[in-house]
Amino acid sequence: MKLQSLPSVDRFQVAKVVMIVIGLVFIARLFMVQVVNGHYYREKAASTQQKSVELEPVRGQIYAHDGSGTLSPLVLNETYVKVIADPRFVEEPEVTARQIADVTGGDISQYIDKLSSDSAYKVIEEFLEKQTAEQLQALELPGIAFRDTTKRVYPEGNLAAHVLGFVNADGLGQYGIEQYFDEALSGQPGYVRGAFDVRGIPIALANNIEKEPLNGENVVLTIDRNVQKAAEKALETGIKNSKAKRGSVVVMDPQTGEIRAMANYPTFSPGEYAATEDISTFTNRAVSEPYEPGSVIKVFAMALGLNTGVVGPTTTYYDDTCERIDGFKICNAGFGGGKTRDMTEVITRSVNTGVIYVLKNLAENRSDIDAADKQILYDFYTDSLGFGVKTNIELANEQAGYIDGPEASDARYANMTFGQGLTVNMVHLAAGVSALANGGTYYRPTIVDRTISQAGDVTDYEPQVLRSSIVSENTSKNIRAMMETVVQSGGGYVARQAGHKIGGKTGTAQLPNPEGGYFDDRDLGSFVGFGTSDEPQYVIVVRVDEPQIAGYAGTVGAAPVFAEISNWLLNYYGVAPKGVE
Amino acid sequence: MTHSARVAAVRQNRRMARNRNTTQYKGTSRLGPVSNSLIVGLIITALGLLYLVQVTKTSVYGFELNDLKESQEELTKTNQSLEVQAARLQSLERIEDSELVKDFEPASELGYLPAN
Repeated sequence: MKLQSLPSVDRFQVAKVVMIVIGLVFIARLFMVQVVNGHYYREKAASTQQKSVELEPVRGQIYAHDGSGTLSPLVLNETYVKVIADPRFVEEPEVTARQIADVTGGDISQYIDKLSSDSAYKVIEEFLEKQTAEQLQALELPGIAFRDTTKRVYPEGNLAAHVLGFVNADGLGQYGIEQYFDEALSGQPGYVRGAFDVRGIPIALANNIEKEPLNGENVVLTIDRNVQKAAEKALETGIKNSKAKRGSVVVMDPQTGEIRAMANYPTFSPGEYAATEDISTFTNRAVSEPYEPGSVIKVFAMALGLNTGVVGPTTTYYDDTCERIDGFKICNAGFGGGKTRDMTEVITRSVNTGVIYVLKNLAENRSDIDAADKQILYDFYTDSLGFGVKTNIELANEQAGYIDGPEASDARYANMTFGQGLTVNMVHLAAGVSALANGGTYYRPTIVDRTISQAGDVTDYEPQVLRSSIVSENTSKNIRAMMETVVQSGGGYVARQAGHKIGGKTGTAQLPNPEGGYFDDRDLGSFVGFGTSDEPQYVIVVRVDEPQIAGYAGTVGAAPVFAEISNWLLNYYGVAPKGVE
Repeated sequence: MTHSARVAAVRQNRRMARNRNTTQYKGTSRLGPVSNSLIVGLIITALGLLYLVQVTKTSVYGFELNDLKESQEELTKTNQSLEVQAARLQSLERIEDSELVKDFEPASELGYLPAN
């Protein structure tokens, strides 16, 4: 029977049945998809739509002071574009390479090599400026993709490179502040978890989870960029003039323990650290390479003698040129004795037997070095000056140096009075001389002024007194006066400045031979000093390794660097000469 | 008014009330099944449209939010870039190399006037 021949009511019934059957088929299918296999499809949908995308925090920036109350950025972040290629989709490598080179000005042969590679991922340009990248993007080259990337930039170039350190290709801070504050500078990544559309845009749904990244903290250093620049320039000039291998300098505010400058030469460019061939160049020798500082240590031994009252500036002794201790003959450096000297002359002329005399007199038995003498010296060096332990300055890789306990030989302790047989870093010396110069207060050395979080919370690094009076005011006054004589008529004469009371002490130490003993022809020159004696505003420590000109390394290598920085600082701080207001 | 007149008025009113009852009207149009289906269909369609509008609105807000975030990021990057440029222009190296400063004499020693 044909459908048309059916009455209209029956045709309607047939259509109804057909519709119901189709509906049932749909319902059955929906039941299969949504109920029976629902779990499978939900997972499938989730795997394509649901994503978790990490949101990178912005790394904290680093600032220095500039002497006028404002801050100068030393390390900032800048967005560049990374150009990557999937060579499998590059149709004509040579043509594409030429098109890229025309825009970037890069090496076409390198581009051809990369684009002809079998790899699925090649970095064509690591850091391309945004405008250039936009020109390249407009070419719509197949197989070429673009991604934003952040780069650390250094507006001041190499300034304070060793203090700053750098960030390596994995985004990790290396050396200096970058390493020490890596966690705080890095911040905390955020994320978006939820549904994304085909373009990777999050679909606004209630069940999306978003956590904003916490950007890294900004770090403000105590460094003054002008002082830093002057110190670096003076150090470079000094190293070149004395034909030395390398050198370091530290400038500290003796009234707070804050570092105003810290430099090493040779230096490197933190923005192009990969171009540095010798990785030892990255080492901040001022904190990471303790050394035997030589006669600059005498100011500490003498300060101890003055402070315990066993000697005064005019106390005399007979200098017999050499002392025999534990069978070793320990002599003055380069000049004879056979005369009576006072303690001021011991510092002025850097007389080894003079500080050994102080050591012998520390305890009641004054004829020899005994256990009590050694204990007193050891306690002063370690408990008061912090030798042998880290200063905890906020820089990576600080090395504490070493100092033998009082059980060591008498000869070792005799050597320790003039800076051999123990090692310290330059921050130890700066903090110690600061305490002697400021009246006896030992401040914790610091290079950080404050840190500022993304929310604006400020953590201040206030000056911290670690030990309130390691020497008395009177001792401080006397040792300052003794150190002035070094500049007036001793090895620090180059730092003389009319009308100013500049104090200092030279040191020349033989470099230790790793195979034992010391090299005869390799010296290390040091100079510690302050300006000015009436109201010390700066302490400078200079170290110059292996200068190649005639004279004591401390005098011809280190003192001129001190002098140049000191003279510059007198002008910079506006210190009027004596008698002029 | 006399009593008889009042009674007559009341009766008249009652008659009128009765007459009102006698003139009731019954509706003649009724909603059939098709109309009901249409109305239900229209209501469902309206609700569906409302739902679609809401869902679309949410998606549109999502896109708008994304656009705003993108422009915020762009502005942040521009700000970064300007900060870097400003820092470079104010760097010591740049100042030292500037044409203006090249003509300056370095201040080697300051002179101080004696106090009266």
